[in-house]
Amino acid sequence: MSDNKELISSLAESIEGNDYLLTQILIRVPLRDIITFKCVSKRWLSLISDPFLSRSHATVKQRVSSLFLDLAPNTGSYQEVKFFYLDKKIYRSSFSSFFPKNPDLRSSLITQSCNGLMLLESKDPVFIYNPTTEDKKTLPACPLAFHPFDPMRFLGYKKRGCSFPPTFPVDFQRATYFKDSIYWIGSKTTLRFDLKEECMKDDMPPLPPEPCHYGYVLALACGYMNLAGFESIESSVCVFRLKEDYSSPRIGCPYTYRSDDLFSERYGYVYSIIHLIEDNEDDMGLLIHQPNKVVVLPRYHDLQMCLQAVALSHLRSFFCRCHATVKQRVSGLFLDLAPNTGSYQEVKFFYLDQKTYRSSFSSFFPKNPDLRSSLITQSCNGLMLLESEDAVFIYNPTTEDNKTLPSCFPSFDPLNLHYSLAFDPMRFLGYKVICIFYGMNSKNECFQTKIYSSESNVWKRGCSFPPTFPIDFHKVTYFKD
Amino acid sequence: MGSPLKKIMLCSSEKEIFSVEEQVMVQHSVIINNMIEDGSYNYEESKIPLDCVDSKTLKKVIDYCTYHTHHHNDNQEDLEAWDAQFLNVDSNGLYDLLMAANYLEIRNLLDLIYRTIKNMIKGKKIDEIRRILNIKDHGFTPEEEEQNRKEYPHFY
Repeated sequence: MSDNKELISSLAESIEGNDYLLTQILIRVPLRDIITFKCVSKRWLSLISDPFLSRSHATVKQRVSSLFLDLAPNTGSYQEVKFFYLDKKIYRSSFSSFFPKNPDLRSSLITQSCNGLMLLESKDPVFIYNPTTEDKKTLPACPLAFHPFDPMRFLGYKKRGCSFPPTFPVDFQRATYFKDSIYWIGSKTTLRFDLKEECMKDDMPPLPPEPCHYGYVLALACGYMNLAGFESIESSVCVFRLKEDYSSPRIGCPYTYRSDDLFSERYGYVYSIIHLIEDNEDDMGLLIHQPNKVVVLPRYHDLQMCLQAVALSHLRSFFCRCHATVKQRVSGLFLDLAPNTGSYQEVKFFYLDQKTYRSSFSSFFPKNPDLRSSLITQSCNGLMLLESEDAVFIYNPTTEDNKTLPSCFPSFDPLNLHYSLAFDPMRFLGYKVICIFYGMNSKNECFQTKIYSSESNVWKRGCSFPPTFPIDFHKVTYFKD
Repeated sequence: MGSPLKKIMLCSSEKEIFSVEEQVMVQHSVIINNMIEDGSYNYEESKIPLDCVDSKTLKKVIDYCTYHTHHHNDNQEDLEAWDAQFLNVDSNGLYDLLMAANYLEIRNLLDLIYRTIKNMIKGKKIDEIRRILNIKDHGFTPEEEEQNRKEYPHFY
């Protein structure tokens, strides 16, 4: 660039004089900057506020940059959700926490988060919460005419499962949404629920064999589904990229993350992979949960980034429910600091920025009192799914909107249901919630599903699938019981 | 669609005539593609007048289209390196290219330029952006501006 001053003036004229050109540039700017740029001028504010721009952003940007962390999921007395922003370029981390304002949210658990929405479960209802808009929506209850079975509690199922030798080691608590499907990962394989066909598919390649690899998580990055797991022999983490059509029986070539610290004597295997971060511009990074801290393991650097240790001192429990969320709107991470407490709820929003290895966070309290008593079940693309005692909401923390979902079943034991949230502004309008439960169809015991769409606002009977899945039930590690 | 060897004539603002393989322009420029497809271009006589594009810029645009037509199978790194070299132009050059690419609707080139400009403003503070883009009137009232600065001090 030879003549910077001249460039500035002529470009400034052309850009400032042309809404279309300015919009085209703005949709390419990282969303974090977009928030800043709202203050540049009135005209920029109006352009940025235009729905076209936000939609365009969803399609142009595929930056994966944030994460909800539920800091203390099982405590029940105190709830805080942290939202981490991940930005690998500057290696800075920042986070903000927020307290859902709706009291319902306080008593519910964040079941899942998905592209910024959270799925929350409480004693009775399930709801979707959007931390960005603070929308929440209670899911309608689905009618259950039979004794429901908790698909998440496999202990009971194992006992009954003698007649079904290959039982179901898929952990429904760890659902991941990606490209029209919801995924659950099991010890040997993964399950896929196709939202378009609304049926359960078992076409995923098998996981690499244990004991070499363990602790897998599904993480989507760069438009692919990735599988990340520990390698027990070399202290490293393997990341496999799955083919788009799952045609390959083998999972592709692994990337390896290595860290000497990773498997120290002191901590042994008390690590869990939270999420894989990857975007088009930066290297890949891996978010690892260690006792009391969250570490980002960059792929090409020996550096590790530690999220603020003080802030994360709540991360005592190894099974801290971490909501790895691919945020497309904001680079961040929600941490639910104490999801089960129900008396105090704060959600933190973490900004992660690896360039400078700094961390910052902000916390917010949802203004709606209902949210406070509910649990964030899931977060997805900036929305949260919240469940409280009698309702399920979708909550948008940014706008602080919440929407109560209609009830799924009039009377049931809510623990027996598992809700999964799918929200992807690029794929379909609105969001969908999948409810999985175990019960009887006309002939057999099986898992059944119900699908809720925000557009129709009703629950639709989904497919049922037999529990005799071709998966072994030997090494189940992640169950609630 | 004409045969790949057919040539079309482009006329710059200085009335200089450029003869380009039809396929090169049809592939990249939406406008020229439409012109050829609806039959409004006469291969014997027509020259496509580009009154807002000067010869220097038009030559660059043709270079870009030609290179990307013939090297689209090259690996991504080589193409990106070529693009970076291609956009190593002076200020007016970038500005003219933006307007020409916009006029001819050459999407790849537009995207490349947008990204270049994006990189100029990405991560900048508000005051820097106002300076870079020479925004003198931000349109906020003094109260609103003060409120923003108070609320988001790290943005400025």
